[in-house]
Amino acid sequence: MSTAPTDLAFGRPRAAGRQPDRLKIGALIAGALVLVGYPLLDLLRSALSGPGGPLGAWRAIAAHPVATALTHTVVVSACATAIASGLGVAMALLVARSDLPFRRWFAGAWVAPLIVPAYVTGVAWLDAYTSAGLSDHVAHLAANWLGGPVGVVLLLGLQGAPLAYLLVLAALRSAHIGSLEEAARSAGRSPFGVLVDVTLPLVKSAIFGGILLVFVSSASDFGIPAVLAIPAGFSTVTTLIYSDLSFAGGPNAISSAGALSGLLGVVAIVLLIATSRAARPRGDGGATRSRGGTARPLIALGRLRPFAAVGCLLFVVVTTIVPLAALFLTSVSPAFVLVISPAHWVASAYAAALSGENVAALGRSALLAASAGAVVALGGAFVALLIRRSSRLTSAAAALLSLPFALPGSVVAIAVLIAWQRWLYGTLLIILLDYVARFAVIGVRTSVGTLGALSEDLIAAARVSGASTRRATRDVVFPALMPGIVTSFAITFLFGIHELTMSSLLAGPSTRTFAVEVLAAEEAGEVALTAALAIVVTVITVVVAGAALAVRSSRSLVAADIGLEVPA
Amino acid sequence: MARLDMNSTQHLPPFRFRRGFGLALTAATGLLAVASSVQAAASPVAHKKVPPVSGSITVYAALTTQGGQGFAAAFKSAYPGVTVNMVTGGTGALATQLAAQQQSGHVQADVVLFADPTDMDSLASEGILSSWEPSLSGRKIPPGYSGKDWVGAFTFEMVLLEHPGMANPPQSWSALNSSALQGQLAIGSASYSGTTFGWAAELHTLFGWKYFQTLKSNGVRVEQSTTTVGTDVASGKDQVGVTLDSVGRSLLAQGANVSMVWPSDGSVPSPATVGITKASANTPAAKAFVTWMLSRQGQVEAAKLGYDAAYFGAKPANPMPTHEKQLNVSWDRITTNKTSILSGFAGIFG
Repeated sequence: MSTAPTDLAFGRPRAAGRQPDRLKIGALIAGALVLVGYPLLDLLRSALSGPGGPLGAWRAIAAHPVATALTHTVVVSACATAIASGLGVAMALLVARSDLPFRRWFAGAWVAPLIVPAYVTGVAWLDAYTSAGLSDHVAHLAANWLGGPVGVVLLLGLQGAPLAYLLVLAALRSAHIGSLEEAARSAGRSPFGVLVDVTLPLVKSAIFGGILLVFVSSASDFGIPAVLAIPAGFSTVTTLIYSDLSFAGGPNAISSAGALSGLLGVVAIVLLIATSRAARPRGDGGATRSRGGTARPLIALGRLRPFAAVGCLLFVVVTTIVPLAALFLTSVSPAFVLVISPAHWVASAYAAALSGENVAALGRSALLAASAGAVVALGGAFVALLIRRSSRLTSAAAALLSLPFALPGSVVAIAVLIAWQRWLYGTLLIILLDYVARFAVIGVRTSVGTLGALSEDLIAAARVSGASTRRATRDVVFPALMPGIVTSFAITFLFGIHELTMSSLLAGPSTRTFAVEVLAAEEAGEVALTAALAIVVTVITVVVAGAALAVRSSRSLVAADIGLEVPA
Repeated sequence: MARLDMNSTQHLPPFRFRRGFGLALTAATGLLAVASSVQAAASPVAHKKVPPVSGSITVYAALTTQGGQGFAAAFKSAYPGVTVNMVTGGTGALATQLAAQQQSGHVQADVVLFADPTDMDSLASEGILSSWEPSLSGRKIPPGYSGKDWVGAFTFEMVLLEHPGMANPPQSWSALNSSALQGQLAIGSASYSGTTFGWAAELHTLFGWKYFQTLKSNGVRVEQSTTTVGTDVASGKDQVGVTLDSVGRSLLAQGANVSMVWPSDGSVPSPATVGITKASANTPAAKAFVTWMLSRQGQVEAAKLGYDAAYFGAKPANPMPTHEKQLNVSWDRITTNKTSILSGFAGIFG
């Protein structure tokens, strides 16, 4: 349930002509240290100073099937990444370089899996394609292997495909690639030759960025393995930490989870530093973007056009529509047996889903997501303004703020838990701190991107025309920041509503979020209630995402500027 | 390692106090001190004077939401001045939360209700439970229903649940490892479900690990909670499941197409254990809740919710037939071997 930035570094200071505001910089550094520095350091301290010291921490780690879980995570994520990258590149080429009918419609439909929370996807696929599910009901077809490693790979792959697709699509739409392709074709190269020798090499760093993004997102996903792998006895790193903390019982559960998280955090940071250079975009995105490559489609489908369209439609039906339909049918079927006829549907699961504690959980989720969105969006704008004119220290603080997004969510949650539980155990505030720490990078990057597009000349012009610094900021900089603030609020809100990995570890008895309620219902075997809750959360995210995408500026920012396009 | 005992409940009409008021008087005079049917006992114990407790209590209960809410609502009827915040979930999750709260010095539960006595013993040894014990005078206490800082309130029985239409439906635990059941059986997870842990420990004693290895090679599906096992049998995803009697009763009450089979080699009982915490900020109400749960009224309520009450002979719908065998579980031995049993189970099923 997470994505990661493709690099950690922020832009160097742009204009250093002004005396930095020490108070503001101090506030930024203090914020970064409180939100990120202290919890991560405290995690390390706790891991090394638990019962038995460093040796005890190592024993706690060794007592777990850590090696197995790590191997599972790496293998599953690698396979999922292969599927996602292949699909993502194919989708992007079909949309941007082929004459596929209805490609604009497919361009949107292929992003839909990002709007559905991962754990909902897991539940929906089980309802659709396993024994007693929709396919079994209609055609006596049951794919029970979905409940296991193969299912995890498949669903993580399908969930990751839109990430790779969006990155590659953005690169393909860069105008200079289109003109190079056109030049090569004019020079007599075959379309296939152009594709292999011009297009793919030019988008390879976008593909590589996609690979890294999907891999990290798959490795830190919790929702899909929680639903598909825990019952199959197939552990991944995220399910191991969750099981440890949720079912291990005993007074050592937290320190043991802390030791494990500390190790993983260190591994993740090392990997991140090693790959961040390689993953940095190398300009193939281009500053100029165009809607669609060359005038002539590079991939002319010819007589295959209808078949390709049907194939693509079937893909959307099988991977998105049928699972959601099965989820809905499960939510309205009485007595545990799937009923297709509306005459026999019952709404009791929705009555339960929208009553009492679940409504309270929905309120908590909305409150947390909105608060995190507001803090992240406004904080991000504040940081972006400081970075614009300040020192290396400011950039370092901003880089520190971006770190939690690149770490597995479980690690961040355990760090926050250990650091703040003395004062904040079982409160909403600890979850909010966690969300803000993890999602801070969204606000910072979005606002940095927005301000990056703002010409220095505009500010200079305002100053030359007699405006004070304050006035220039108010009239020129703030309006420029607004789209970024709205966008980062919307993205953070969606991430917050979706969030399960960290919430499942931090939620106390009276602070369960809606996603945690879905997981609890799923674990408790309440099939119809789980489906109804999942439908409710999906409808909410679709509405919010639709509203956010309706803002044109949001869409372009999401796709182009921050490289964090999606909730996972 | 841990356990969850998910005990579903039936959707039954709310408790009504006025019905059979005369019978209540009879009960009050002691003439109905022993065995009364659910229907008879459902009448009641009217509370003419306001109970001397108020405020709110938080109950951590390893029950399903409906089971927990059923108890909360019934208690609220008896004690209108007390608000019950019922927190349901896996035993292990709740135990872990309590341990974390104990570390941070803010234990939030007033009452704890777990399914597995080994967990209550752990809470007791961690100093979380109060040594207060409710009076059980006049009640016949089943063996193993009174431990350090806790008492048993009702009984979970592990039984077989079957989807109709099987050629040779199994009638015993020993029949489950037949190759004819290849891919048709579901069980819970011993590290998640406390009652499944007790069942696994007992069958390990009877049959050894080879029994479980055969189940594994026959493609048994290991779900987490016993409720999931039940719903999967009801939907036809699995043909046979190892689950709780209360899960079976709840499914039958909801019209599911299943049959509950009492294994010929004996059902496996686990006591539902209840106690109050040392840190309770409302001890009078916490004590009132536990006392109520063990009272005739609480026991009748447990039976109405589908649980096998421990006292006063209150029987649920579809009760255990008197001629059926019940295994004698040695919790002391299980407590001693808990770690090795859990790791043995995890070694086979992952």
